[in-house]
Amino acid sequence: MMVTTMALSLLRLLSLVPFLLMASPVAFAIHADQDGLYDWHHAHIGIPTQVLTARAFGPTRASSVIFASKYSSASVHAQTGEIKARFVMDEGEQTTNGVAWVTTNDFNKYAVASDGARFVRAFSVADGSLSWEANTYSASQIVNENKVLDEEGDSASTTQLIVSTPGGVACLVPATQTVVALTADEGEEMWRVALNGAAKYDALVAAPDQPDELWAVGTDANGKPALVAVKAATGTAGSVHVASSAALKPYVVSGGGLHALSADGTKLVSLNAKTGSTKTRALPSGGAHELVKDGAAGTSGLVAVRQADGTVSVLDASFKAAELKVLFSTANGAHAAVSSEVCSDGKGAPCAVAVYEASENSATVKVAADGGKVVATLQVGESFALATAGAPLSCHLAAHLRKDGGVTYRAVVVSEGGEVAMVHESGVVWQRDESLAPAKAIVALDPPQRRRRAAATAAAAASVFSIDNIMETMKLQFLQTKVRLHIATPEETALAKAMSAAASDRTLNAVDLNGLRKNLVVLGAHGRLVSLHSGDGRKLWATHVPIACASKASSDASFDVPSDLRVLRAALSGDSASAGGGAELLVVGRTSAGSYTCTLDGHTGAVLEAKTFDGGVSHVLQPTHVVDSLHRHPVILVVRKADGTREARAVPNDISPELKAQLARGVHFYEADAQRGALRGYAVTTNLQVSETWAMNFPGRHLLSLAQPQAGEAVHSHVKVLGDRSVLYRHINPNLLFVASGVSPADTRGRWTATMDGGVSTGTGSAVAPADASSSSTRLADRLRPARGSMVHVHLLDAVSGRVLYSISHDDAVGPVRCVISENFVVYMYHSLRHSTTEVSVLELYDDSARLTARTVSDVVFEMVPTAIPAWLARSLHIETDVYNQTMSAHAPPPLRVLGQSYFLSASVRAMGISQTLMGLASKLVYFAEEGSGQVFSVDKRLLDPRRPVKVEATHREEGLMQYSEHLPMGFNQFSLTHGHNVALVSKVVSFPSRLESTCHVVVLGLDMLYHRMQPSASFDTLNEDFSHAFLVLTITALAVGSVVTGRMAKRADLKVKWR
Amino acid sequence: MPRLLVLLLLALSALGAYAQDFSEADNSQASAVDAFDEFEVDTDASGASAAFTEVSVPMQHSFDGKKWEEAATLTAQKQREGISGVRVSRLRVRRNAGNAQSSKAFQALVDNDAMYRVRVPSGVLGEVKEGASADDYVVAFVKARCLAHAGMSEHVTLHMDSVGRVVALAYRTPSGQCAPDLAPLKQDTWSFARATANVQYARVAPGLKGMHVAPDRPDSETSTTLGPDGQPVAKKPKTFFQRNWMFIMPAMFIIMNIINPPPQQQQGGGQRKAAAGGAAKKSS
Repeated sequence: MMVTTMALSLLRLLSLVPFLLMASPVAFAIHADQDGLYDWHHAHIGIPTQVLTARAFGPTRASSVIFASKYSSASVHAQTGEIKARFVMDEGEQTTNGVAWVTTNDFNKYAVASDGARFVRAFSVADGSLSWEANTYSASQIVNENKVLDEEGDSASTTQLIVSTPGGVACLVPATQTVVALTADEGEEMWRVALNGAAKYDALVAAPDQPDELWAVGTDANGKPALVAVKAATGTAGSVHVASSAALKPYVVSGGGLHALSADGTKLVSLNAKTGSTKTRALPSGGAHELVKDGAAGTSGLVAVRQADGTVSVLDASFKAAELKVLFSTANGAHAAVSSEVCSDGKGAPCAVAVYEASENSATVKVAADGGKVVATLQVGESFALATAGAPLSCHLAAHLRKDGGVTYRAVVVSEGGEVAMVHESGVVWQRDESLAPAKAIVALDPPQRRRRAAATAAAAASVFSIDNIMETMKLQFLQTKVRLHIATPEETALAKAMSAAASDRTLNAVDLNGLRKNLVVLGAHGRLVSLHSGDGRKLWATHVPIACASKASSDASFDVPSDLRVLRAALSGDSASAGGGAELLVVGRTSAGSYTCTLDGHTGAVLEAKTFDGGVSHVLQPTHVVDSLHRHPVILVVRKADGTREARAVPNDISPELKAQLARGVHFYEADAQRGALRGYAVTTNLQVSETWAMNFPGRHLLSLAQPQAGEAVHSHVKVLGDRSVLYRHINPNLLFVASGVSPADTRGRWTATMDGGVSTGTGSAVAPADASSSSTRLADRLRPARGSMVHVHLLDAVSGRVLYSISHDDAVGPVRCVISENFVVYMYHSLRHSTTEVSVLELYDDSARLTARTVSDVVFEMVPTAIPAWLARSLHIETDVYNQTMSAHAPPPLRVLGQSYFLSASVRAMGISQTLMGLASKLVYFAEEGSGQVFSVDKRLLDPRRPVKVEATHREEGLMQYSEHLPMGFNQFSLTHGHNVALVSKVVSFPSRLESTCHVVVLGLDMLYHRMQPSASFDTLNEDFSHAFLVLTITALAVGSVVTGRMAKRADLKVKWR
Repeated sequence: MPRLLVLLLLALSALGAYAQDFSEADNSQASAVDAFDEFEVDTDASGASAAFTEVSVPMQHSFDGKKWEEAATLTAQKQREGISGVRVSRLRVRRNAGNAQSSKAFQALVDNDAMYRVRVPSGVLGEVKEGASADDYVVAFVKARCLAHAGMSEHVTLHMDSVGRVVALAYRTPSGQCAPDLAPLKQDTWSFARATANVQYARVAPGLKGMHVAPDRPDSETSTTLGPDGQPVAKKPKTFFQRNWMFIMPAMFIIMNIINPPPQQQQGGGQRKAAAGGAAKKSS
């Protein structure tokens, strides 16, 4: 008996173990709900500057289309439009100078030239693996180092520098003025030829009618087009032909020579490549023209010209014809792009040219062949309408012979806004949106009210209560329970996942109570505004701002890509929304004559109003506290006039004068000149005048980084209670400005300038002169050497008064510097030369006023009492209840106590961000976007606490402070937002709060875009979306039954004992 | 006797505190105690014997932000420090005599609650730059009303970098306070009373020790055990109990508690039983 009792109690103790295990906090455990359940990733290429299709007629079809943009090159599946493989270039060499098939017979390898053809890389089409890489010149081959540096300055041009040859590829290297041929298999140099120095060559093309010849095209000292032929097999260069008159760029190589327009744009100058003679012919239609780059170029000698009104004509410019003949013309004023000419390889099919035309409502590709006859019309569809996708940018035609002898045409079209599509005669094969590569700005809006789609929701509501629906829900619950109990087969698990995704309402485009569904409105670098649904990343609407806004404005000026995007009115709820109070967006940009503002509907993308005015907008300021009668948040634009003076404008202009004065009250802004190292503060007066208030100069240094806290950030408490019951008061300053100055290799395109801080001569004692950074006498080797002794200087300013609140410098450190500011802390990173690694420093600002430091915790608690007093009582007793919102004057900053600490970071970081939650209560996460891997990691702010002690004591433990270690763990034990997705070229990590404290939205912007819904402190206020209610019910039922049954059993056993 | 000693010590420490250079006792930052403090470069360690050089730099003021005129001279002592470092100390402000015109302009600023701006050339202190433009100055401001209420006492701070270049200028009233509800003063002549000044340098952050080779990241996710043939060994599937022990154990615990309740206190139970029996007997 005794033994059984002991065994029972032991068992009981044992059964407690799981509870104990569950209760004890396991360090670094990853909560499933912190993992990425709700994220999507859009991989982009960038707007293609070059597109490579298998252009030849014949049986071999390329399974891929090769796209090359400024940022990357990629092979895209020809049938689906999915990226098969992508190569993203480094920041320093982001220029693509052409892409070519490595061998012309099969299409399994392509080569990309970048950074002025300095690098040539060949990739496999199938998997994107690097086949070989060649460096066309090394430091020893540089003829004139200064020339190379100059050359690189304008290598941003994307002229074609690489062509395929029978044996591999050949490329023109503008820096050394040579043509280099590389073998197809290994990329080894076959031959190298230096071109005659009479002209400067900047493009290489395959001769249209000579398969074994390459033509290097350039300009001589007098601005005349020059051409030299190089034999593809041997590399022997022919004589240089120079046109007899100067001509405008671009040059088009078509037929037997080179064509360009005369300086006044009315005549076509044609240079015969064989004879070297020049033919000047007048264009059929009068007025100035523009030559379409690569338009209609091919063996027939066609060229495409654009008239001033936009009409594009394809002309026969072959040398045989005495006069130019128009073969094909687009409709008057239609925007169009023309493809190069595609010809058969002697099978009898005609040569064809595709013209991509866009109008207000749709776009078409017309294939013209055989003397201008339209042989096929491909419909591109509404999504390529002018106001949605922008004007046509380029068009690439591919033709294939069918088995029955006919010809099918396919075309890849690219719009200026970044919409890319493959069109076939039967319609659009696939479509890609490259407009957000890279993205410029992002705002988050609440989706529209459900009421807007009353009919749709009524239908949805009816279906919710149908038998099918209930059965479906039951089935899902059953499957989820099985998954939870680990008894589901893999098929059932997949089915449950798919069903829960379909049943989830997170893809619904309607406002939700918790603010978990958002419309992300993103402004692309090419002027397109795209709204994406946060649930699944689908596109809701797109507007090409320059064209859509220009059509609404009264001015004729051409509109530029917008520079800023703001929310003028957030989506309202309830009655105000139905009274026409939908979300409104404001975009600001330049026009050819001044600037424009344009308001758009946030839920449809429709342009509401566009206005133009003189002067260029330099700043857009939006004081968050000012709201007009229509619930809009007016904006102040700082406009720089032609004479250099600045003035402020209120937008929208129809707000009352009182509101205008309120809007301008206390508005300050600053302007930074990063190269000169100057910083200037300005104040806006109530009558909207701008006056300079303060100035700071960092002579001889660049501004490496500027950062300010996110406007309207929620801070939960201004008090921090320490382990020993003492209190620290956070210095929370929304005008805090972080300025880092020093040198950065990024500023000098990978080259270091002379030492900035260490190299100062002090020989003369009184006259201390800073080193001349741009001294021309310094050798390249010196400039390439890291600037030992460089320092990164960090200043924390008050942006209103310009007063330096704190300054610190880091020895042997250089940029790039990245920084985030939140609450009272600043986290920034820089590169340490001493340790050749990245370092992160954190500064925390505390108010050190004697008045505050003398207080104790009980005082603080007592001070909070007024918040509990009813408002009417507080008013009658004159008690200040708003203890959380006490303001501090920027002109009299309190004494500060600044705590700091530094760490090593085993990664180089491209961008940083910080989590933002509704009330600022959830723990803060700092996001680090890693350079090479394209991963974004979130690091808990507690790891970046400057009070982390070297020796942990009881008080520290109570506060949850971790022991200080020089290394900040990253990648290990940290949550990665990206989950293996490679987010290329991250430039921003932005966070928005939802209406739940636990959850925030994180968007990673760069070449790619990644959205992630995150819970920094786990889901303390929500149930998981896949929470199995059925399992809960089952458990409770089982427990209830169990207790009844076992209760009876116990009773019976009890009775038995009593009868014994 | 010990009491006397204590008194003497107290007096000495008070004297020491008093003798502290004002330049080190700026009320906005001197009290800043931070983790970097103890690593701050010792200014007296090197170049203490180097000769001081007297430098002066003009300070200009403006009543409208456009027209600038010379208003004061800043003088300081410059001293070389280390190889390239320069230390500036003993900064003083010497105001030029004001005139009736400037008094009038200042009164206008006070009346309009406008800004009184001052500027000094940026770059190396004391070095005259030929053809300096407005961009070569560092500018600061204070509300004229605040200056008037502070009795025209001013405080100038020059923020300098380690090679003696002026980076920023701070200008304020000695207390730094400026309440927004003070009524504007009216006075016929405004002349500057007392001026204090100091120089501030950026702290140098302590360098990290340099055990910078990061510990290896154990890739827990990708770690696979290799079998004798060099191929990764497939993990054994978990048994039903291994997967569900956390559900089974609590259930067992509950069931066990119900079947076999913990033994009650023998004595107390007996007494209670007896009492209950007694009560029953009584009632019957």
